[in-house]
Amino acid sequence: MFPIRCFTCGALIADKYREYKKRVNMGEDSGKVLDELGVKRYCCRRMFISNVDIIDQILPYEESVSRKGKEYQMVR
Amino acid sequence: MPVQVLEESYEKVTVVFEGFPRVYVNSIRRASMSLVPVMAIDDVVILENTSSFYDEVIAHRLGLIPLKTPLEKYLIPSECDCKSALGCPKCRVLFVLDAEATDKVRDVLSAELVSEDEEVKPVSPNIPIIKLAPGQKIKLEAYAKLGRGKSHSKWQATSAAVLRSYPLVALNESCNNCGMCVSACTKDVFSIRNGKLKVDNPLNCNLCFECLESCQAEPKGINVKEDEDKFILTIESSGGMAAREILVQAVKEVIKLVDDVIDKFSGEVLPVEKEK
Repeated sequence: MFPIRCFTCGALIADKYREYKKRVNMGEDSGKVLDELGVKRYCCRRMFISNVDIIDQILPYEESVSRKGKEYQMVR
Repeated sequence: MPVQVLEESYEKVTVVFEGFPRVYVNSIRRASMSLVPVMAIDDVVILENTSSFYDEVIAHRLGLIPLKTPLEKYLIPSECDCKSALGCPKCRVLFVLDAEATDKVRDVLSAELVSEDEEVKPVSPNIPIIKLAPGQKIKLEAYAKLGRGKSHSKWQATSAAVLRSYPLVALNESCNNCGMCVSACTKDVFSIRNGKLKVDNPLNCNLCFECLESCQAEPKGINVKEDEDKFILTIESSGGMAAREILVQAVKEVIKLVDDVIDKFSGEVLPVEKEK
């Protein structure tokens, strides 16, 4: 998951991540989005541009486990 | 005027100190980072956790959430008389989180943290704490306490505290208005208007002297030096308190330290034995 604060300076960054990701996925320039969100220092900016959401790769597995669990219960 | 405010907002305050030694102003800067108390979640009691995250990861993420801090209302646990591990109503605030994902994957946001005290709450309601898959559940109690930045960075009231010299930038007669310094300066200090070089933002200068390197005139057409008697202190709040409040509190903390020294030495100062 995206870190809540910048590792280096400790500024709050997590509240801006959803908007950042939404806008970048829509094709906006990430540098411009960060400027508009008020992320000024390069320590905080690297947190955004270098983040990989590994949890999104794990959750589909958890999702299917819970679906399978429900199916088993229904069979019983 | 010895102290002058250049710029002020809730998050950021920029102040010029005049006539103070640099070390004094720097002690205020350091106190604003490591001594100003601020609220952060410290103890977490996990009641139920079927999410994909370890308990410790959740507790760590909760701790890092900046909380709005009414300083006068609470005591630092070490100075509170309750001496209890989880604190008393005078020195802690209870948060409860109870979240579940039913049909699809969802983010648990800081808005879902229910606080005991209306005044102590997450700075932003949009901080994602964890992600839950359908069927996963999280239930916990969290205790927020006052603490100081020197013991953990989650209690750091500032995200940036910078002390810099006061720059003096001026043009002199030998300037030939070539404009080389305009592009050499990365801080937009200079501009050229109607063929004349102007100093637009002298306070932006960070004394890198690139403008002097680029200057074509001989002798150099720009005078750049630092004012030895003035310092610019910028304090950026991480959200818990107004930047101005942090600055005032930092000064109080420094005074407290000095008072401690005076207290220790008042009354029974032993004379230094002179060697013969």
